[in-house]
Amino acid sequence: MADIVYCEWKKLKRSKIITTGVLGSFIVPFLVVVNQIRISFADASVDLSMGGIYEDSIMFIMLLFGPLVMAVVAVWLVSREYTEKTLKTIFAIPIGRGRFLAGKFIMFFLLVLLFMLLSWVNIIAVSVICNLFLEVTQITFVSAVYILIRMLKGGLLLSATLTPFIWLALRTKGTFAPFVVIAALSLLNVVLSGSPIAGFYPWTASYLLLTGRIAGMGSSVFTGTMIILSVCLIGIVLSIWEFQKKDIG
Amino acid sequence: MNQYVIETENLTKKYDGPAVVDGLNLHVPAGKIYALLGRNGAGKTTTMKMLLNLVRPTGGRITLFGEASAAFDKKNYYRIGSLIETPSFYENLTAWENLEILARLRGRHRRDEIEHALTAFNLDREKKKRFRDYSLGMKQRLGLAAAIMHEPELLILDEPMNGLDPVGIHEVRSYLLQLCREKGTTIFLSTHILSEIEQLAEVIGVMDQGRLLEETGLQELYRHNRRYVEFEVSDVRRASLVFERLFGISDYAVTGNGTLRLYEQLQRRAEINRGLLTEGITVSGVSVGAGKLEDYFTKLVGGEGIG
Repeated sequence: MADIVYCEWKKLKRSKIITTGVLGSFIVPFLVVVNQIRISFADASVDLSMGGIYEDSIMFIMLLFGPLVMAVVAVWLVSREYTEKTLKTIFAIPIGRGRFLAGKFIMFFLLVLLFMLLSWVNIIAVSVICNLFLEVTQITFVSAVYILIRMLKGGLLLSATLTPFIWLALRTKGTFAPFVVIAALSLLNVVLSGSPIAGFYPWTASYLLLTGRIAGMGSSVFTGTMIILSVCLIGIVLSIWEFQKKDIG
Repeated sequence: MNQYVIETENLTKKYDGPAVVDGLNLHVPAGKIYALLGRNGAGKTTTMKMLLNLVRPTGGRITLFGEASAAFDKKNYYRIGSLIETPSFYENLTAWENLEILARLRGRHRRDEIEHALTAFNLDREKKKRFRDYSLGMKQRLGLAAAIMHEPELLILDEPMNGLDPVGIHEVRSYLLQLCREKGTTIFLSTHILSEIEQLAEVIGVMDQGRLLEETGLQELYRHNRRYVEFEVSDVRRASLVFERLFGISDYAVTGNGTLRLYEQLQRRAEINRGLLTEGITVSGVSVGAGKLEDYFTKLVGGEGIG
């Protein structure tokens, strides 16, 4: 399995989509800090804090930017094997379809964590840089570790809710249909984030679960966890089922 | 050891319409080069994909290395090297990186094997070039390098000469012949280049519309491809009698209205011509020729030739 994961990692070398994803991880913390500065200038009673930058960043990452970017990455990980027609080369070796899929899921999971880790680095970085010119509170080691743990937990939840996109990419063998679904899902996230069903909608439930607000939205930690776990398992099971029955090439 | 490395029995693949491969019975002998011939859409690639377990048969049986495919140990597939359709690798990676991935996935990552494979197909100086920047011929050579990298006992090659220039074709042909001769590698290839068959294959299978029309050795093929003298005469029946009675010729054929082909005693054609004239048979033309493989296959598949 280590070789499969290594090969999946190697396949990403010089990939533009990964470079774009890495650069994308800068966007949310940067925009959030710009917005925070604007607010603090408009209202002198509002403090500029690393906690505040994190709170806003995690909201945008979990509800909008993260699902959007990482679902695209999930789809690309699979669809490139179809567009570059590499499956017939790989499976003729042969490697088992289950092992191949496991490699994809593990790599996707690692990429989501990497994305969250980079976002964390950027939150810390923009806070520290901002502190050079303006006063930013809560810049402490403990805060940084706390935010890191929350970000990684967010990564786990995010990757769990995005496994159905692996299935969708296997099913459609392309990118157009999955991208339409990704766009629709992101829109729904925005629309439903404040609604009473937000705790039951997997992609908003993950944010509410992470921030400890799920109980306040009429759901519970258990229900939210079960919903997210179900989505994750459905994505994995459907992917295995879809892939096992398909001829290659 | 089993006489055949690949054996299929009533191998069939159906999608929604008619069968793409229909009751195929292949026999690929060990240590030989077997060429599968057929027009586009004959079912050659699907057959190869079924042998490699990329496509699941809807019927029939596959036996590889003497073992039934259903019970076939996956590790035995490591004994096979393959190139199916156009070579496909990761566009963003170099030739070396692509081969390294395949070697690692095979669980046999040896740098010397990668180096040797690239050198064998003259890619050692291009190993740091990305696959997307390769020409069609270079891509084909990389596909072949990937197929032979782990020194397989059986090579399954789908149109291995595609995209190669004449020098490249000669090099690949020599390499495959050498592999077969020196290492006893069995090579099962598909091709539509008829001249390649004569220079490479020892056994030939002809496929059309999913069915195997003929499976024959090279000697048999030569029989179809031998030289002849063609006589255009006024009376075919009397000319036949002259051949048989005056010259003792039995190996001839009436090939058309007023034409006969003589397959023996070709050097006596002037004498035979005089004999025909003496018997009062008008000879309007005498020509020397060789049966074309293409004619043979066209006749076999009953169409416009191998596409």
